[in-house]
Amino acid sequence: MRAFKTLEDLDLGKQRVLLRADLNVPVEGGKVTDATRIERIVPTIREIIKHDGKAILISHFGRPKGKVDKQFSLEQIVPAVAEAAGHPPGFIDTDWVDVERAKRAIDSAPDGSILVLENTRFHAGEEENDAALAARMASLGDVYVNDAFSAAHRAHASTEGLARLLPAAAGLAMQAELEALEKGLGQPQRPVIALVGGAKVSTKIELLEHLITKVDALINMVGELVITQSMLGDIGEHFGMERLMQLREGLAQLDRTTRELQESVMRIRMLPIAAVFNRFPRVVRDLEHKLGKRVKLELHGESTEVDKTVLEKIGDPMVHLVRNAIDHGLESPGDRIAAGKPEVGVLRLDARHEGGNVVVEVSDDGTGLRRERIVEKAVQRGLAQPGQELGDEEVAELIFQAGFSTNAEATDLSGRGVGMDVVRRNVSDLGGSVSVRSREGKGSTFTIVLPLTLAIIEGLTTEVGGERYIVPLVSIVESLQLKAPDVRHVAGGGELFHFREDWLPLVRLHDAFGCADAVTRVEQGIVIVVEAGGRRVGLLVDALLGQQQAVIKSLESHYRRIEGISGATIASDGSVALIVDVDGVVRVAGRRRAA
Amino acid sequence: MSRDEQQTTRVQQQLTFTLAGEEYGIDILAVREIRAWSRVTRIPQTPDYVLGVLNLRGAIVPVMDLRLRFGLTREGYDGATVTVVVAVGERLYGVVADAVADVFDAPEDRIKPVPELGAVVDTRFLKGLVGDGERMIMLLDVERLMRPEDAEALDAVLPDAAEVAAAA
Repeated sequence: MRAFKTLEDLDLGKQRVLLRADLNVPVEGGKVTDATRIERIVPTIREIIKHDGKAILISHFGRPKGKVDKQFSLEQIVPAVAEAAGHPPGFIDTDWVDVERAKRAIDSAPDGSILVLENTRFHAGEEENDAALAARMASLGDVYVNDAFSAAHRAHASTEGLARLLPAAAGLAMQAELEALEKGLGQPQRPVIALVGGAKVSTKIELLEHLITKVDALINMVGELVITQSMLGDIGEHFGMERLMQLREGLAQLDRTTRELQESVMRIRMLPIAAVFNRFPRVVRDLEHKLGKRVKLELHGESTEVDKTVLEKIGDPMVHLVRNAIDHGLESPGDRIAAGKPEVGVLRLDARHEGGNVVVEVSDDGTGLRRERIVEKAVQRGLAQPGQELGDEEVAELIFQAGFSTNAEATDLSGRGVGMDVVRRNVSDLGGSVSVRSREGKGSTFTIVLPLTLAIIEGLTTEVGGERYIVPLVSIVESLQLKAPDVRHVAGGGELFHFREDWLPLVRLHDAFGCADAVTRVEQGIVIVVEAGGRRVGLLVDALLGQQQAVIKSLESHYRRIEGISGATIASDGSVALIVDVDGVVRVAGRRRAA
Repeated sequence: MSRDEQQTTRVQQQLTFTLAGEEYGIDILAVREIRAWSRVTRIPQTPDYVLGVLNLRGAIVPVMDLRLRFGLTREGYDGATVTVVVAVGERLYGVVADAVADVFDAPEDRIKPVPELGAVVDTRFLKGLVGDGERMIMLLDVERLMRPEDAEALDAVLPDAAEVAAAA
């Protein structure tokens, strides 16, 4: 299937065919020196006159600046057209302000003749894509054929405006060009690599963004970086104190360019979440059939952009939540009518940006969490005490516990041994969180919050025993200094400290990571209050070194996963700094204390 | 050995290095590069012979000290200490040795199996021995050196299981 119409789609028989050609050919002393452009439209002209249509050529020629200027008259091209087409054309003069005379001339010309209209640029409306001019042009023809590929990128009256007013198609030369492009851009042979050169990164972002979805590898040659690099190299070669200012300038320039490059590279990696949303209509349809339920799927915020690292990981937890919502949340049509609800249930997927995060919600208007059944189950499983008073939030938390499922029979959909606990773990492995809001009888909303990118984090660099650890900024609540009496010792070796109405556990990072020579007295170090997996703890470190962006590198590609460490990054001196996985470090500390 | 025989025998090139006065060899095809010793970043939750990780042109590569791996003590690191980066499949890791010696052509037919030495010498990581006059080079099994501990524990159990099966 072509994405455009061709001559075959138009009825050319005895029609007035406005043929947009590119007659802007080089002329010297009133003679055309290169007729290539004219020759290329001849096949289209022949096709029109074969069908007894009138081929009415319209074209721009030179730059007459929107006024009638006979120096740029297309009349001088007529002999060349006659020679190329083998058929002498008639010339119709017009100033494009009043086209009545031209219209009469066209009507009186016999079928199957070739006519050349005067330069379209004799009217200023041409380049402004003036609607009135386009309408006057349209009054001269019945159909419109564009065969001026070299002018097709311009939105002028004779190329864009006119095409909207008449049945339009591409001429044969245009068709050949478009098909060649299609081969290169539409379904190219893989792998496709794009090389983009130039100086200013920011001017090319739009192009790069467009290309990234089409190509496998993108190589951007950034002129600015090369220039700065050679400048700095030169300063280094012949350095003296008098060049200090120059060095500073160079470094500042390098800093700017690097940041710009980083930002644009990150932007290129951003893709709309529609790529994930689009698989749900099918998932929902399948589930409707299997479960005998009726579901209307609503998608919102599909154009929300997220980094492709996140895009790859967000699908599975979402599929699980959607299955869960249809299987456990939405009622059967009969039950819904009985409950006074519309027969068709609504499942809504929503994505939006919130701060440095992307928020994805899966909501349904089903039964909501059934409090009594959840509590009953929790008591059965020993997760809650009989008669224990539980708040709504605590009840909602219960469904994220390992091995929890209230459906009496495990269905083959949600009851596949994968529970909400796995969803929560997968999401928190990505540095995000899952929570649920629910109203019994009205429905539930599951909210996934994930960082916009998994490739770069903002982190706080800390020092512990001469080693550096980076704590992700998103999980930090506050840092504070404690005095020795602020810390209480609990039976079993745990330590607690008072923080805003709460007693929080203190995790000594040097204990958890086994660092030697670290600060062990609480009053000499700093406590960073962090939040992970819905709870808060304090991390004891020696000192805070500063905030930085960290490009996350995996430890697993050459070694293995380390509990308490989510990855590593390269510090400015080239050494490796480790990134703390706050959730994991709490687990490690718990085990160490137990041992 | 005559010249003709040498030409028909396949030769394994070994990068040799010293460790506590002994000479070891690593198949040169597994060696990616040799670096002067540089400080690494320690990582928690690892055995003591894994010194930490280093930045190898943007990749985070673990480094192990062979002395510690073999249960010897490490007095310190000096100018001769080297990190040999080896590859097992797609994965890279560094081994720290006292000093690099040379590249030795080991004819395959002169590589001898490792004799059973009892508990005195740890032979788990050796693929074979090759003698050259007074020299004796122990050929390291780079794949086994960096096996995770649980796989290693499994290895320790499996021979017993095999013996049981043979006895039954």
